[in-house]
Amino acid sequence: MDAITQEIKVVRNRVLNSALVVISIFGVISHSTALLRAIMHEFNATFYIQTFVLVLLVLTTVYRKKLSLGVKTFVFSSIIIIAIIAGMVAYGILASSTIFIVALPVFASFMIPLKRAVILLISLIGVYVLFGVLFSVGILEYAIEINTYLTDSSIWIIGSSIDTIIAASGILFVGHYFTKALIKNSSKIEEQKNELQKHKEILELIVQERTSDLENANKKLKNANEKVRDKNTKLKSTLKNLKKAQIQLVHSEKMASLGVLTAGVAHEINNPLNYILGGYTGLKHFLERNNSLNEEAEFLLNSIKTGIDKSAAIVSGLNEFSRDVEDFNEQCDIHMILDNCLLMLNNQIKNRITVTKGYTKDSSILEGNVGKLHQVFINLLTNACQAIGDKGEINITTIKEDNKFVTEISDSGAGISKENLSKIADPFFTTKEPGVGTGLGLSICFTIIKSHNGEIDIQSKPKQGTTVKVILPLKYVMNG
Amino acid sequence: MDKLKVLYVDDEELNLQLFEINLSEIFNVITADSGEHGLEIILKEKDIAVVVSDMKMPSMNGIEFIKKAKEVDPTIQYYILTGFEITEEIRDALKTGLIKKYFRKPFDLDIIKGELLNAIK
Repeated sequence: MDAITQEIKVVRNRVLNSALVVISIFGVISHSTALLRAIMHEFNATFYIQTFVLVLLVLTTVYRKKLSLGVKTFVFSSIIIIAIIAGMVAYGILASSTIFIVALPVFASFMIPLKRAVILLISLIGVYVLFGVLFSVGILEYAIEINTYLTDSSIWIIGSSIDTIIAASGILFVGHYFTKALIKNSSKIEEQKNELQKHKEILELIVQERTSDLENANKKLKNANEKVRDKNTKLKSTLKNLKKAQIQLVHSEKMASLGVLTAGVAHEINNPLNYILGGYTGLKHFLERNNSLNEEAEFLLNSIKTGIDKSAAIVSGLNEFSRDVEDFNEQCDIHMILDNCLLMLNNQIKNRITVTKGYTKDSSILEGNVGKLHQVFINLLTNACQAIGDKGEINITTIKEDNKFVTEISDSGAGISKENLSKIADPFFTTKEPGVGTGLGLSICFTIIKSHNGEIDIQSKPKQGTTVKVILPLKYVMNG
Repeated sequence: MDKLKVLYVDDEELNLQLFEINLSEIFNVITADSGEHGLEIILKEKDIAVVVSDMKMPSMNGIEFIKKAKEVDPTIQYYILTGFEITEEIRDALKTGLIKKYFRKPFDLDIIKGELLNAIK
């Protein structure tokens, strides 16, 4: 805003300065005609005042660049007003300076606020009217000889020169100058408009560029996001696999420790068993030689032998169970393995569960891993025992079908519900109290049978018992 | 006929005594409590027919002892007694014919008796 006000000020200053110059020149010229008139008629007060005014005007003009706009305007206006009054005093309505009553307010309206210009006009009209009243009433009298004055050519000259000055000023300065300023402003505005348009276009280009940059960046981000999502999925599945592997590793370690433990225990027990057997044999022969082997003695000796045999069988079974060999080409006698397992579980079975065995007459030998198959059947039989509450039955049947050996274990226990049936092979899934079972047994059985290229099938109905079918190939084939 | 000489090597005193009591009826049982003693006896008594040795012994295990003994007297029939499962070592020994058979502990002395009698024939 300030710049505009400044511009206006500059323009006004320039106009005023130029006006001052021109009016001074014309003033001088018209005053010389007034001088003529005075010489011809008389030197009156008007003339002297006019001269004074002209001198003031010239001085102001000479020092126009050093004076402020306000001062110049005031001087200019004052001079004109004085000229008007002076003229009217002497020449009444004939005063040529009355044209200033019109010219000054109009001229001033370009310099000062409209309100003030109107006030100026009203004031000047007031003065004019006042003089009119004064003259018509007779207080003032015309100082000149009207008839002679009216036909004096010098009056016309003065009149036309003043009119010329006023009009010329109006045309040249107010009209021309302001038009020029307006044009300059408008052209400035045009210029700015163009600049703005240019900037607008550049901005649009930049925005487009940035938008396309953003779109590219967005695309890249989306891609990266996809990749991250992919990686995430892969990581999830890797984590799952790792967890599985961990479970199996932990189990293997447990089994390994168990194997070492049982091997140690078995061996330690074998030694004392040896003493008992040796002692028994010696005693038997001693009594035989002395013919003292009566029924009672025989019975007693047999008890000792039975004890030894059972102990030896258990130790042997334990060893079989915890074998740490990884070979799958061992000769596995399924019937022997089943009997071993039943022996181990004798404690759970006796007086509570009736076991019926329907073993096939065919050979129950197949290729596999003895230790691992022990684990499977001990787990299945344990589950069967635990499923049975107070009393029940376990039925074990084996048959040979084509090149497969099928073992079926059914119990009269609690059975498995439909929802649980689909989950029982899941690691850690258990319906037992926390701490009682790990829930790993069946999942490991499945893994072992799978590694033998066999199948496990479980059929069960709640309250109707469970039947587990284990199908194993007779010959071990590596893959599959 | 003189009773056949059978050497039994075991680091457990009780086993040695039981072996002797039960088999001295049929065989001439000589016992040794270590591989080293066993070797000494083989050298001293030149006509040992059968050697039965325990596997797990402190300084020299059964197989090691038999290997050395075979160098001294290859005509003897060697048997191993073990409380463990059959190991690689024993399997190899069987394959190479180092030992004729292995017995598991606790061993039934009657079975051993039968086997030894068979072997001599």
